[in-house]
Formats: sequence, structure tokens, C-alpha cells
Amino acid sequence: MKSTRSPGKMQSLARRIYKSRKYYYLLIPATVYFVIFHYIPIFGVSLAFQKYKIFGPNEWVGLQYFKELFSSPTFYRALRNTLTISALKIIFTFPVPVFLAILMNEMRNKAFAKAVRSVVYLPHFLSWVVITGIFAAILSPVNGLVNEIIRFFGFEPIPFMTSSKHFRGVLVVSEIWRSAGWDSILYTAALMNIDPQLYEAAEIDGASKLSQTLHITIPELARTMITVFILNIGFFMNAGFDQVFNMMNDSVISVADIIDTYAYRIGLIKMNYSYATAVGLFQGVIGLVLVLITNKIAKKYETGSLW
Amino acid sequence: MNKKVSIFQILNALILLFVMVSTLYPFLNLLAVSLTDVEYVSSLPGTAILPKEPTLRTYIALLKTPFVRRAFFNSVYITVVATAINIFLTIITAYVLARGDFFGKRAYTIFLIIPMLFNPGIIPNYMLIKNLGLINSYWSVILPGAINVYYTMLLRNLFLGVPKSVFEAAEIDGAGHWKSIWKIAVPLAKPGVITISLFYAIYHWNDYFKPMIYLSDPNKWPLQVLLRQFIVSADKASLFGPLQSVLYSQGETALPFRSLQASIIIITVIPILTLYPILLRYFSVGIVSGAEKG
Repeated sequence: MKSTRSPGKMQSLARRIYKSRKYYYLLIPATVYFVIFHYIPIFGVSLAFQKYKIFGPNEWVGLQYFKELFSSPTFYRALRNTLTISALKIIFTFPVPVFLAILMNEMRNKAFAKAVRSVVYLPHFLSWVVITGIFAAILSPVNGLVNEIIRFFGFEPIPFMTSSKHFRGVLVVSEIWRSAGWDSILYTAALMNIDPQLYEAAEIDGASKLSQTLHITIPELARTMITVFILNIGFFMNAGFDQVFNMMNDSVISVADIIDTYAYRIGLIKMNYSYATAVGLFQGVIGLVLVLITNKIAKKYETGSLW
Repeated sequence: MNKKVSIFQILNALILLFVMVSTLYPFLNLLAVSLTDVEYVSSLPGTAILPKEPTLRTYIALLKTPFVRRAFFNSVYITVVATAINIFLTIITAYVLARGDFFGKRAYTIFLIIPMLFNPGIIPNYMLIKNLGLINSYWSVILPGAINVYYTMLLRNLFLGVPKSVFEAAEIDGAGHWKSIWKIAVPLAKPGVITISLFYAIYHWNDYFKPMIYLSDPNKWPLQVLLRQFIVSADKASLFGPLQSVLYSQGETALPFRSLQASIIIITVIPILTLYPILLRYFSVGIVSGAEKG
């Protein structure tokens, strides 16, 4: 914006604002909401540099809580778990919706394909509390479905939910169970946009179904895949609070405790507000940097970004 | 070549069938557990999808407990009020972003997006609710999610799909913004508005975290928080106080934990299953992926 404005320009700007005043009125409720419920908490992170006092003003302590944080082995464990769980989730869950979308798209019987679609979207709409209940039931070592199958083949039942060896696997599988169907939507949309002439031409050239998939479908999906992958990296610091928080228990805490659950415990259970705010701020800043970088990269592919 | 294709089709059908079964089986199993007579539930295998000696005893026991009925009411109340606020705010904001050509529009969009990029964490949000004096008020659960930027942008895109000439014709006829919103924009983007309303409603129905940390009075808890008590408690003894009474509501012997868990999961999920077909009817791939305009 230019710093030198002629009075005429100012006047026309004032007129423009006045003319669209009704639009501004309509924005008042949302603006008030965002200021109170989003911007005040953003500034609230200053608590990380203050010692919280129940009575009287808080005391500024500078980086004291960050020093504590970076010398806490529990924090490093939470950081390691966050990165590991995020990486496992991206590696194992990322390809599933792609395959699912292709399979549903290739299904000749359209009624069946539609039935599959209406079933696989469903788990996305369940809370992690419910999904934890479902997984606890089917993985129960006493009478769970999975362990009954394991026992049928003559193996010892596995206490999946309370075994630190298996718990991360449970996180990955339950994530796939919940999201693979819903996440396939983006790829289904991309598949719908493929020009059918490409396939017709390939058919005339005598290309098999498999080679059509390899040479037309996959490359056309690649752009969407790259975008989704990059955007996932942007949320790397977020290993899935609701999922881990509900599924976690004392016997798996060493492999499951992520930064969010750590901050929750320190802040709301142990009421160490300032320290927990520092934990949250650390995570928030890294998350911000990651999202900004990955969005910049995603924009290069022009397939879409967060904004 | 033809034969190859059909082998692929068969394989594909089998894989998709497996996907479908593994999605639905756990529900059917829980339904069977919840309907099985409490005498037989301990011997019911995890593979069962048919109840043994079907009865509604556990459901009746749960619904006879005032605490559970209250939780159901709380869930409905929070969902209805919060969704009404959501949809109102989302519609008027999306309308302005789609139609308005006003000074500061770009800046305003950035103002909306910044909170999506930076998450200040649990404590600053908790402090806000505390400082506003909203702890233990339903508003602590309803207000913090009053509008979702992503859904607002989706609806804005749908409103952009409404031809400008339609709005202009209405304006010539003397329609103000208010009329344009409710008589033109909303009816013409009806599937999108319904889809987004259902997304909001499901979000509130599923919310357990805000009620858990903000509502200190258990009488204000929604179903999800109640269900969480049944899920995280390893056994009857560690179950939250007021819920202990549910166990013995059928007489001397306690109801099996497994039956109660299954029944309350089903009770919590039923409203979602009721809304889901409506969602499927109005929802299209384009609405969510942002490809569809109008």
C-alpha cells in the first residue's frame, strides 16, 4: 500500500467502505468469535514465559520453562514417539486410500461399488472414544474377534492394547480403519476427472487393463498423491491426539505418549500451566513452520493447497 | 484378455467385500453382545454376530438410569444449539466472502486462515474458558467451535457457483443481503448446506474432549464422556461413582461389563447411523474435494 494518499483517494476509499458497510456488519459475529476464541489464545502462549500465579499478576521468567523442557527426558520421549507414530502412520496409511479408490473405480458392478463406498465412509464419522471401544472389544485377549482367529490357528492370544510391542500397530491399523475410506474421496474425485478418451485410445492400442492402470491411472493420480503427501508432512507434529489419548493406557505409555498427551498430563492433570504452555508453543511453532513450507511446495504442483 | 479382466474383477470384488466386512463386522458383533442375555454374554464368542437369547435388558437398565438419560439429553442439546449457531455463522460469513467486493477482503481471509496454521495448544484455550467464567457451562463446549474456516470456504465455493445474475436480478427487485442469503444463496446451495450442517452436527455429537475438561458437573456430561468412562475403566471397580448404580440396576448381581460397554457404544452410535443415510443422499464427492461449484 502506498504511503502517500491524495485526499481524493482517501475519500473514494471511505465511500467504498461506506458502500459495502452491510458486508462488514455481516462479518461482525464471525470476527468477534475469531478474536475471542482464536486470537486471545494465540496471545495466551505468552504464559510460557511467565510463572502462573493464582493470585496477583504472573511473574516473567523468560526462557526458564523452555530450559526445563529441553532437559526433560520425558519430553524427548514424547517428541520421539510423536515423530515415530507420525512416520509410521504416513508410511502405512498413505497408500491405502489410493488403492481403495482405484479398486472401487474399477468395479464393473456399479451398485456394488456404491454399496462399498457408503460403508467405507462411515468410520470417519465415529469418535475416537467409540473406535477405542470397538478396537478394545475386537482385540480383547479374552473374547476378542482377532484373538479368537489367532487362537483358532493355534497361537497364543496377544494383548494388543496393553502390549508396548503391538500398540503402535494398533494405532496404524485403527487409523486405516477409520480414514482410508474417507481419504479415498480425493482420489475418487481425481479419477472422475480423467479423460475417458485416454482409456479408449489405450484400448485401441491393445493395452491391457493392468498397463492402463500403470500408465494412465497412476500418473493421473500422482499429482493428488504428491499434494496429499506434502500436506500430511505439514501435520507431522500432530500424531493424532484424540486417537492416542483414548487408546493409551499405563502399560504402553513409553511407546505411546506423544507431545499432546504429555502437554495434557502436565497442564490439566498436574496443573503446571506454564510448562504445558511451553510444550504446546514448541509444538505449535514447529507445526506452523512445517505447514508454511509444505504449502509453498504444494502450491508448486498447483493441485491445491490449504488456501 | 477378456479372461484376465474377469479374474481381476473377481479378485477386486473379493478385496472390496473384505473391506466391507471388516468395516461392518465389529458393529454386528457389538450389537450381538449388547442384545445377548447377560447370563450368556461371558460365553459369547468374539466372532458372533447373532445374539444368544436376545433381550433388551442391558439397554433398559441403561435407560432406566437417570444419569444416562441425562447424558443423552445433554448430547442432543449441545449438538442442536451448537449446530444452529455454526450453520448461521457459516452461511452469513461464506455469503460475504463469495459475494462481497469490499476493502480489506484479502486481509480478512488471512485473518481467518492464521488460526488454522498456528495451534496455541491446550492450556491457552483452557485459560480463556476459565477467564471467561465459562467452566461448567454448556457454552464452554458450544462456543469454541462456533465456526469452522474449512467449511466456510467450502460453502463460499458453492455460493460462488450461483450465477451473479440471479443475485443481481433479486437486488433490482429490492432484495437486501438478508433476503439474498436465505431466499437465493441457501436454497440454491441446498445439498452443500445440508452436508455441512451434518458435518457440524456429527462433530458436536462426537466431541468428548471439551466436555471432559470444561464440564466439571457430571450431570452436564454428554454421552461421549459417559462412554469414555466405560471404555477407559478397566473393570467395574474403577468405574465412575454415579455409574456404579447402573451395574446393579437389575438386582443383586452386577450386569456384565462387556454387555454395558457394547450397549452404550451402540446407543452413542445410533444417532450417527440415523444421520448417515441423509448425509449420503446429499453429499457428493465434489462438495468435499472442492471441485463442485453450485
